This record gives sequence, structure tokens and C-alpha cells, in this order.
Amino acid sequence: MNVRWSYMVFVLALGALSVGCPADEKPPPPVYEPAVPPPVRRAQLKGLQGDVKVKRAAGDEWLPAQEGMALFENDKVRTVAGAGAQIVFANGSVVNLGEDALIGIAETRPRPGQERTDLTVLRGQVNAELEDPAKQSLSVTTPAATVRAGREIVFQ
Amino acid sequence: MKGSLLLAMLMVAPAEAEVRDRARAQSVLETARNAVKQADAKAARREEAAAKLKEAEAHFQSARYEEAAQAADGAWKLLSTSAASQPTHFTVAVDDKGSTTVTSHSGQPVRVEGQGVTRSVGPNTSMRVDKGQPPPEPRPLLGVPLPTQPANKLKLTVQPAKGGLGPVTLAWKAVEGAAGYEVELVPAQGEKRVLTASTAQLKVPLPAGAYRWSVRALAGEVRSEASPEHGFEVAEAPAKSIKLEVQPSKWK
Repeated sequence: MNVRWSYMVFVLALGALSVGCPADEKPPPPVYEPAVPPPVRRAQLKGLQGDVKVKRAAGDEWLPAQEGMALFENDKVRTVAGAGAQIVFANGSVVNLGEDALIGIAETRPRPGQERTDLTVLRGQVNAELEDPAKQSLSVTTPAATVRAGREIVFQ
Repeated sequence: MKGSLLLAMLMVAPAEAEVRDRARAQSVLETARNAVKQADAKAARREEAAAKLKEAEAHFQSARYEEAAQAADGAWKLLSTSAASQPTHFTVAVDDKGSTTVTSHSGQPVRVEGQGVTRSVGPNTSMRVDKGQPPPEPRPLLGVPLPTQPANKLKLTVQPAKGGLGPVTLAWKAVEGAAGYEVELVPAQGEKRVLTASTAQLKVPLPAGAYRWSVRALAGEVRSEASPEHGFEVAEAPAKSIKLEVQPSKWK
């Protein structure tokens, strides 16, 4: 008899436990965040003179530039009067940014219908130098034109 | 509905790729054409490059754009060994209206594209492209005027005149092809002044003080680089002493 009661109490206790954790309840689905590709480093900022600021592609704030700062696609760089900076691209081509200028680092992969470019100059002057134009290339887009220097296409 | 959209996308995608390949081939061809055109007639590999270019043109006409680009690149490579060994230096300047001035200083020519037109800008030439316009023919660069007077860091003493002291004569070496000049005069205290001159000198009355100045040549919309900056000081000449002789009076 005692054994039977003990058995019933055990079964009831199990039932009570299972109320808090129903067998058919599924665990919450894992939260999947969309895969964001890491930003592509395209150039480096050097030779800073005066007030130079950088705006990251994902930000709204103009940050003070720092020597050796990496520049990623869609970042923007601006200089004020009397300021200047040097942008060194991964392929070795160098662009000197003059005073009172605003430029953007272009995307690595062009959008459909757009030609490949490295740099967009919205205002001001840039001086560009390609040490080895047989191997290097540089493309500068402005509101009026696209300027290409060096080798047109580097075939594999 | 979804099916027709997918079909439309499938039809558009190859067309876009073809347009892109065609544009790329056209751009490489243009570069190769310029290289062949500018190559010395006696250049060692000019004939070979011209043949390669002809091959590229044939591929292009037959819409084989990838082959056209490869062949044109080959033609460019044959001729570019000497020019390509020199660093290429160029300048791109954008004004407030978006107009763009491209100047090639040395090395290979750069290509300027706009409104479906591509032009080549060779060393020591420049071109200005307005928004919405195709690139025009490049023009030879204007030389840079060299200041000659007053000598750098000279202290001038001048007589008072209307509007200041002087006038002070600023002069520079004339530049061939220049239609005028633009002088930038910066006083140590006060605001910068931009003055124009039609000849290689400018007379300007100035208040006493220290000044820096530079000059650039103008020809239509082409502006030369600014000259190196010179400085001078202006001071008022001391008043001349007047000898007064007072005769003794005859009145007693």
C-alpha cells in the first residue's frame, strides 16, 4: 500500500514538474543577424597638415584624422584652408589632397552601370602620382568627368 | 507575375554585362589608339603594336569585347615600356560648380571620360570639363610667370600718393600665350587682394606695411600654376628737409 502511495506521489510530482516545462514547447529560435561583410581597407592617410577630418561610411560624424589611419570604401576625407593630406592606395599610387577639399574613397566593387573608380573628388584639388604606371592604375571621378591613369586593365 | 519578373531580370543581366564589357573594351582601345598615335614612327615595336591594335579593332567590330580588350592591352604594352617607366603625375581640380580641370605634368597621358567621350591629356597639357559636357580638346599648359620686381624681401621707401604710397610697381617675366595675369597680394595685416593685369606689370598704391605676392598667367579658362611667392615692405619716404633762410628785416 505504502509502495502504491509512494508511486502515486512520485507520478503526481513528475506531472507537476512537467507543467512548468511542457514537452511540446519548442526552444526560442536562435537570432540570426544578417552577415555584414567586413569593410575593405583601400588606402591609408599620411602626411597630415592642419585640420583634416574623416567621416566613416557608417557614421555621421566628422572625426579628426590621424597619421596612418586606414581608409575604407565609402569613407570621406575633408581638409580646410591651409590643410593637406596624402592618401596612399594599396597598389602604391599616391594622391596628395590640397586645402579646402572633399573626397570620397570609392567602393571596391562598382555598382551596376558604374565604372570602377578609386576616388571621388567633390571639391578641391588632388595631385596624383603613379610610380609604376605599367603596373598601377588610378581612377578619379568628379561631378563632370572620370580621369584614368596608368594601365587600363591588369589582366591575369 | 514573379515568373515574368524573373524572366525580365534574366534578360537584362546579360545585356548589362555586355554593355559593361563593351565600355571597358572601348576604353582600353582608346588608350591603345592614343599610344600608337603618339608613338615615334621609328619606335621599335610600333608596327607590331599597330597590327595588334588592328586585331583588337576587328574583335570589337565583331562584338568580341573581351578579346578586343586583351588585344588592345597587348598593343599598349608593346609601346608603353619607355613611357611607363616614368612616373605619371597629374592634377585634378574641382571648383564649386563641379567643373573639373585635369592637368598632366609628366609620364603617360591620362584619359578623361565624360558624356560617352574619351580624350587623352598628355604631359604639359590641360583640359577643363564642365558638368554635363563632353571633354574638350586639351590645351598646352601655360608657363609660370616669374616675379622680377621688386626684388624678393626688398624694403621700398615711396612717396605718399592717392590711395596709399607709391604706386609700387610689381613686374614679372611675360609668358608666351598668356592673355593676362592674376596677381595675388597678401598684406601682413588685412585681407588678400586679387588684381588682374593685361601686361607683365602692375602699378598699385599701397599703405605702408609688409606684403607677399604671387602671379599666374591666364589664357581663356586656362590658368597657370602660381609663381613662387615673393615678399617686400613698403615705408613712407622721410620728408625732404627744407632750408629756410630768414633775411634780417630792414625795418627798425
